[in-house]
Amino acid sequence: MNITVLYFAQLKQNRGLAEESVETDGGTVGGLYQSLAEQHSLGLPIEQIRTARNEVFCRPETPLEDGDIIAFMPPMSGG
Amino acid sequence: MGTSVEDNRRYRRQVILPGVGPMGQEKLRRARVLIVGMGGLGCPAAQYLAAAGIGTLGLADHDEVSPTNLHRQILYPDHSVGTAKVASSARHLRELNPSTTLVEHKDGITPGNAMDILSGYDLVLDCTDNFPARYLLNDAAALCRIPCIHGSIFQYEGQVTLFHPAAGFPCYRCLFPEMPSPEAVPNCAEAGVFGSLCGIIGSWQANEAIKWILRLGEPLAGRLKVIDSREGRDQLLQLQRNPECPLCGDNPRITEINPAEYRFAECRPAEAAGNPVDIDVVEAAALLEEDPSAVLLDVREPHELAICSIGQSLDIPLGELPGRVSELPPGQRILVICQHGHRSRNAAIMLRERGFANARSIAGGIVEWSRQIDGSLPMY
Repeated sequence: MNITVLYFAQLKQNRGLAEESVETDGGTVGGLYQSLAEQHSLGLPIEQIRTARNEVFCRPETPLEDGDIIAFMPPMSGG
Repeated sequence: MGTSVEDNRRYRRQVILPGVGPMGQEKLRRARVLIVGMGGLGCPAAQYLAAAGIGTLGLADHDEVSPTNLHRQILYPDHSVGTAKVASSARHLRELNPSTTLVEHKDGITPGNAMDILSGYDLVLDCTDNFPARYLLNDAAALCRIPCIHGSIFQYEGQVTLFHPAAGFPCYRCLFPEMPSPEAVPNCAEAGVFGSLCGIIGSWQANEAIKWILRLGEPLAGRLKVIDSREGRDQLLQLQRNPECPLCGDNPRITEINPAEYRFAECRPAEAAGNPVDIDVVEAAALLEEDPSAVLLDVREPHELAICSIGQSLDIPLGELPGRVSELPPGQRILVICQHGHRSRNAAIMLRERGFANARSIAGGIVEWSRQIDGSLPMY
């Protein structure tokens, strides 16, 4: 299935891009993050980020569906 | 309603708006709004709130104006460097709108004063720049049952939302339940910040505050607005109240302000006796001279390296380090450096966990190096 991935803040910096399209066999939102984090050295463990599916924050165990837009967001503190 | 002829003129273009009117203007005059953090976000927010006729505006910050603030903290003139932010901003806001009562909270918000200060306001703007302050403010606002309008930024990206558990909306802990470790997320000093983005996000915070007071339109409650100023992209992410939230969930753990909750966790894993993680700059400089096989590992970002660096270093930004440890020679001494010694400590600990027992972090980072070893290094 095809998933659009959006990266925010530090993850965008670590990945070097804001958005990408990935092919996956399925699984969960959290599982997708784990594999991308490993592949691209994203640097933040899943416990320190929030995940969103189709513009709604969701738990990492949420199943993926074809065509999902998945967002990965770390907290940001600047002001 | 006691508005003067002058007030009628001042607010005319606002009063004629559908949804405002003389009653709305009176609501603004009676409103008490607290801004915590008079930095990049607090400056524009305060200007719009004062100009709109908010009756009482509290300003909380313990900091002084620094030269590195000036590119984005637009209330502070060049000559204000070294003066208290609260005093300097109050002076300028008084000139902007003399009818706004300004309350100066010079000590900022602390676990000791948070409940007392917040209980005197109708709503609070979180314009702070660090996690302990953000969690403290979120918790105190929820316990005082007032809305907290959150704004935060990272480089070119910012976000804004309204937290208000007492009205059934989520809070910051529904999003991020516990404070991250200090090394996990860089701050403005480490990551850099785009000045005009502060104006965008701070203005959104003022916008949400005024809307809330006037009961105008849809508040950004349960919705996190994310703005990428570089790519011109916006996102609006829906956030639900979390029943497991430690503050506003069904079985809350946090029911009062406990100072221990707002300290960064001390991240000191078991350190082998005689092999502490930290090494001071003088010792580190001597060691690099004596041992040509020792590796100096700089974990700062490329834009920081462009400003200054120390001689023969291996440069791997902290975020890339987990995937690039194979580039480090096994068995050798590794001295890790960053700007202040936080990221390098995190890196050294991680390297030790991966078998590099001789990894150490240069305490105080390149800032301390420039103080004690090489004063010619340009600082940032």
